[in-house]
Amino acid sequence: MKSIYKYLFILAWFTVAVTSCNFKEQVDPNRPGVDELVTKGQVNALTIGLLADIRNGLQIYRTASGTIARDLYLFDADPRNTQDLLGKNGGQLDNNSFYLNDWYEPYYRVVKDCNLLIAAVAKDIPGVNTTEVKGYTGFAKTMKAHVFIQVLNLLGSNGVRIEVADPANLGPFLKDAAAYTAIRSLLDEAATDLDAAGAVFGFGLHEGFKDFNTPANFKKFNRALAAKVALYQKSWADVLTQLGTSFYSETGDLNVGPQYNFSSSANDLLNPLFYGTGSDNIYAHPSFNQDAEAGDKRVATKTLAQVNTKDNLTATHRQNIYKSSADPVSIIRNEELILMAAEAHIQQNNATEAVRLINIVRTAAGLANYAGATDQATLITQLLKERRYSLWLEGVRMADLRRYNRLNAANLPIDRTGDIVHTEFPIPLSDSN
Amino acid sequence: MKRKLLVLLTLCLITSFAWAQTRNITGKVVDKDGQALPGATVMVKGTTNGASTDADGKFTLSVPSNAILIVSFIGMTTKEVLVGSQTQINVTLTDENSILDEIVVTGLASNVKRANLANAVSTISSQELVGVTSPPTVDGALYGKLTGANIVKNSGAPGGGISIRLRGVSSIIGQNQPLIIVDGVYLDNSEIPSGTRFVSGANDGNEEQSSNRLADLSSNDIERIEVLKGASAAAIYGTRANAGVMIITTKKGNAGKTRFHFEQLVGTARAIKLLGQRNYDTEAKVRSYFSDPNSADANSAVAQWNAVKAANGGELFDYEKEVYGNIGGIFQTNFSASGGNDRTTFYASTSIRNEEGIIRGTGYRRRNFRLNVTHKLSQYAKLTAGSYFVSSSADRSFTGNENEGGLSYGYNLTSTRPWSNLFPNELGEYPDNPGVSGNPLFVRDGMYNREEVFRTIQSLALDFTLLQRDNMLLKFNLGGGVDIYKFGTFTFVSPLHTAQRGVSNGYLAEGANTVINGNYQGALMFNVNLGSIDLTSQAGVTGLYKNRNFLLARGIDLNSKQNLQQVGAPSINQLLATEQDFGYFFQQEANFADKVILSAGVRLDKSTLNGDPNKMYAFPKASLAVNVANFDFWTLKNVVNQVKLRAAFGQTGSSPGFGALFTGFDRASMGGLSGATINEARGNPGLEPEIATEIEAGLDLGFLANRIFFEATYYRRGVKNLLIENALPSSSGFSSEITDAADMVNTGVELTLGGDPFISKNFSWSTQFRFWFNRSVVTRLDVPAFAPPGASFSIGLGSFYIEEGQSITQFKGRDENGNLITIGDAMPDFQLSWNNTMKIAKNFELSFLWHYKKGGDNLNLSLFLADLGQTSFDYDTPEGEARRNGTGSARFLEDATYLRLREVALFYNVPKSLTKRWFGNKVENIRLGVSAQNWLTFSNYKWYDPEVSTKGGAGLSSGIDVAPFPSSKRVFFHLAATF
Repeated sequence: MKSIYKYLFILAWFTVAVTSCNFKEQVDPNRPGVDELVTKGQVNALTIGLLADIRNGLQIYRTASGTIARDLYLFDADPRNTQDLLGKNGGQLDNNSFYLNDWYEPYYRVVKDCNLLIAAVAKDIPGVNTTEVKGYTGFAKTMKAHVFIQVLNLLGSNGVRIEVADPANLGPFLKDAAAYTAIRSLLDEAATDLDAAGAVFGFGLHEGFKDFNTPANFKKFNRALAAKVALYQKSWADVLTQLGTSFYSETGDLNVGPQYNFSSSANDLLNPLFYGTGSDNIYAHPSFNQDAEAGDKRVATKTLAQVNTKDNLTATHRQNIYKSSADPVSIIRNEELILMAAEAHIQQNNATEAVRLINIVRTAAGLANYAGATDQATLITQLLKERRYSLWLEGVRMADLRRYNRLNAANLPIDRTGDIVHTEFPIPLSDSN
Repeated sequence: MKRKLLVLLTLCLITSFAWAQTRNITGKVVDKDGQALPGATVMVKGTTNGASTDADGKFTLSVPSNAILIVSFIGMTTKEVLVGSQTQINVTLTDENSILDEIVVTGLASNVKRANLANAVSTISSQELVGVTSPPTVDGALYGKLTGANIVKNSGAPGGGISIRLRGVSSIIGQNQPLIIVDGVYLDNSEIPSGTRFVSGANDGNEEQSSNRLADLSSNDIERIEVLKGASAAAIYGTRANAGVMIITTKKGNAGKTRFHFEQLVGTARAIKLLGQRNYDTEAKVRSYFSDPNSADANSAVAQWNAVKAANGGELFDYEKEVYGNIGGIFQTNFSASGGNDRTTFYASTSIRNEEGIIRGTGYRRRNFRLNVTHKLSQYAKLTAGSYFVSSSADRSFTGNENEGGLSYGYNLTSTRPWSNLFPNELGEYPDNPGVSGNPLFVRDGMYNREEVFRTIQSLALDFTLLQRDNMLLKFNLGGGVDIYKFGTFTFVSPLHTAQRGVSNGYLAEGANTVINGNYQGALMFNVNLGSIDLTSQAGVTGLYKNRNFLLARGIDLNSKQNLQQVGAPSINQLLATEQDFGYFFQQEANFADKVILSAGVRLDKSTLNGDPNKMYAFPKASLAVNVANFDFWTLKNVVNQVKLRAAFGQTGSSPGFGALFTGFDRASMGGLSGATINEARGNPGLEPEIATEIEAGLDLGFLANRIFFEATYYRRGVKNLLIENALPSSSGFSSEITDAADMVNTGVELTLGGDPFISKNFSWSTQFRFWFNRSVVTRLDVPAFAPPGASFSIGLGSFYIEEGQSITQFKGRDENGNLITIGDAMPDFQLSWNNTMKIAKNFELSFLWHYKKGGDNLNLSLFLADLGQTSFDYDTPEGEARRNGTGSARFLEDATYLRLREVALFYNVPKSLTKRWFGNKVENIRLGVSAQNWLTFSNYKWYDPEVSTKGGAGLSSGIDVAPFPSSKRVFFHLAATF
């Protein structure tokens, strides 16, 4: 039985052979790692990616806030679109649900991308010179500010968290004046960077930014945002100052402005506001069509007759701004800038100028010049009405109503007994701890 | 590696042996009724010398005078007979009802007699598994047959979709289903989605109502299943055993005449119930559908309502019946052959199952083939090879949660108005369904969601006896195998579908998912008998690799062809994952004359899934069993034959899922430019496995030679470092990361009482009661209480909620004022099953299995959808009204108690005299019968089935009901013959 020792020897050898293999450190086979931001190509991918990703929050941001503002309904499979958002039976908004998380998360992902971008270019990246670095930071800071304005518009008095670069050490929620000051200074920093960024960016931007793809032109978008912040700050004179260096144009196309593009190519998105002719669709709130002045082209071009009933709500017209799944969506348009100027003039008791600007928009809508009273209160009401029709489905209605204390049952149609009007979104559960 | 084996084999073969003086003996093997047993194996103990009995049960052998014969036959207790001076030996074998002598597979290299086991290991025999009726999948055949298990059907679609949880939940995001090992090969039981979420708008892959891959295994090939329910029994399996282990042994042949077994099943499947819809009997109800009951729409709806009633004799359309009312045919043919000689035995089988679902066009087809061969190379070496191939396809169509897809039947039906005509016109065009984005009849007739599997499982084992002395034995075994499959998925949504037309114009997808698993094991086992102590030592190594490549190609904008090259916006998703484990194990057992049995061991494991891939984690175990009745002082042996006190301790692990270590970028493109954006999940590079520590204690009693037996077990299983998907503040840019921030404890009791109250020639009855419950509590939570993402929808609709001091499966929701409140718990209060087999008048067999689940809540969101669609069957009752007009999440919560007749069957064995008259000696046995699965269900639950999980089988996800594929009950006629 000597062979037993041979077996044992073989066994021992087998054991050693099997165990001598050390496992290698694991690498992700599926995605590039977060530490891979060291080449110009990798950094440039972020500039495109963050603009692409922000579109993921677009649809629910606009439909959820529009539903609360009684601007529209979204009829689809999710019952919460017609229940929670309209406060059915007095129900409150849920701080952990799709209508909040599904825009809040991609928006802050974009902020993260911006912060990663800023951190990456602060180190030496081959092929990126110091002038170009300013272009990256000016772009990233502007996009961050854009997100913060969006967040603040929906969260209202809950404020907005601005300092988020270090996940382990998040800053406070800044409220009201403090928030606007912080956003404004971010925009101003960005403008300074853009001024020092040379004639061209070190990165490319998509078709929707074709009029804003140099540091100088991109700054016009930056200033439009600065004007918007000034408007919310009620710094009326400053609104006009900032608009002066933005892409504001009284004679130009009202639709001019940066846009998001959509396509059916790989890893791209289709326009999420376009639902085709299906009965699951975005519908105008019936009052949108009922309250309209006869002949208002904005109603005729933005909505199309299609009746649907859901959850005891009946809508008569669906969305018709976007007619194909590849139609671009504007981020901010000249029409909004003109109405911002008009508002600043009303607030500065400059009725004539305000009416003149309102009439630019009315004329484009095929309506007669405004002939009503020109006292400040009446003009504000008129302005809000023009904004309602000009900016339908553009995500500003809820903030507009709140700014003038009209986001309430006294000023909005209540469709069903028991429905209530929410005034702001809660801080998402994950962020409220 | 190959060369070493060859050397080993050669060494074994050339060893020669001296034989004692031999002589010839003859004998006969019979059963307890005196019937001859053909094909029984008669072996000389300690040798390869043996024979099989002939058709008359007779055998002839040449044996040494000191020989001991081992006589065995499937389903009978193996008997040892000392030859001595006898030349004619008659042996009577009895049915294997003495469960104490049963050998239980529990370890990697050794087995234990049940009487000496320190854990409550459940064993399911082939007869228990599929001897009564024919559940479509192995997991579906386990309901009510083992204590401590919570088995839940995720989808009623043909082709499976079942999750098994042993002794409660052991992980929040990780593996909650037991490790499955088939003949030594790790079986992949993934639930792979087909990507319908990209067209249905479902939130995640787990909402796609996919099948799980245990469905590929044919139950008919299974000899037995051992279930190690917790860490104390499964410790030696180490890092993948946190949720328990199911050890499946397939059938092997017996030496002797080749026996053929043929079985034909013909059956039907139909919905266990239909709910009915709101009765739109008055015009006012139709009008109430509209916010303005006098609007033009309301008028036209009333006109349609009148027209449909006039045309259908006062009836409206019953789309529920139209969609779910199909009676599906089921055909299954099983054929097997087994036999061999004293050196080589084989088992070969094939089975074909065709099953139609309760929705027209759905169905499941499976064809499988198995060949198991055992060959003795010499007295000292044995080779066992198993080969299995299966090809299956399932048409599962579209069910479950969705958003805007217009595909899920349940979703569409809840908003389908019974006066809308959805039937195709003479051109074959399906009208749009007013109020919802899909016409279910068009989805049923014109679209598909299909799965296709090609899978092979190959196992190979070599056993060597290195040393054999009177009192010692040294064995070496080497085994392993591969489990390889391709899982294809095919989805087509017509461009004419309401939700597609003018938007994305159709959807086509094909998934090619390849899974390659392999594992090996080498172990030394040494047994020495020192008189009153029997010592068994084992030591070994194991290794495992898993490779997954999930590829999904999809596109929209279809033309007339269903070819991916013809689609618009082609898009590809791919997931690559490689995992490797390696471990050592050591175990020492000491058996003091079957009176006291001690065992201790440790498994050391490392895995590439852990943050440090080379860190070894130790999983120790220890157990003690005391057979009080085997001590000399026990004088009641005639009455109480077994009194066993047992206790066991053990640890197991569960590594983080693949990918949890990494933070990376996703590709995001716009306007033809390619970009990158941060992925919302932040990686955690320092992750360690979840560690379960279990203590189990029990008492086993046997009375009157085990005619009555009782088994009681208490366990406490704590899981430390429980991985959670911790929601990060969204403003950080990340939505979650995996962290080990929690601990939990499961405690439970399992009781089995069984026996044979009657044993007589004309009536015998065998019965078992099983009772079990589990309670869980979260004992540590380092993060604020939270709703685990993906496990449910939102707190407003009711949600799982991880909270320190509370049950891990609790549901929280909002009250009328928006405050967070506890509304229920998915964990059943207890479960009870009652299994019976009766033999009546010799040739009849009646079996039935009742299963009662008490408590355990469901979130019935299906009913909620029906309320919104104004179609719920109880819409106009006071209860329905209260629910509709109420607020708060509690109104969606329902108690999911049920009592179900899981299995029932009546069989008739054609008497031997008749088969002899008809077929001579050619046919051994003919069996006819009728059986049913899930034939009766008693429950107050207000949807199709209280047993439901719309969120699939992983993680916590059970008890959430959103438009699932309704469950079916099946009835079969059986014809079986052995020849």
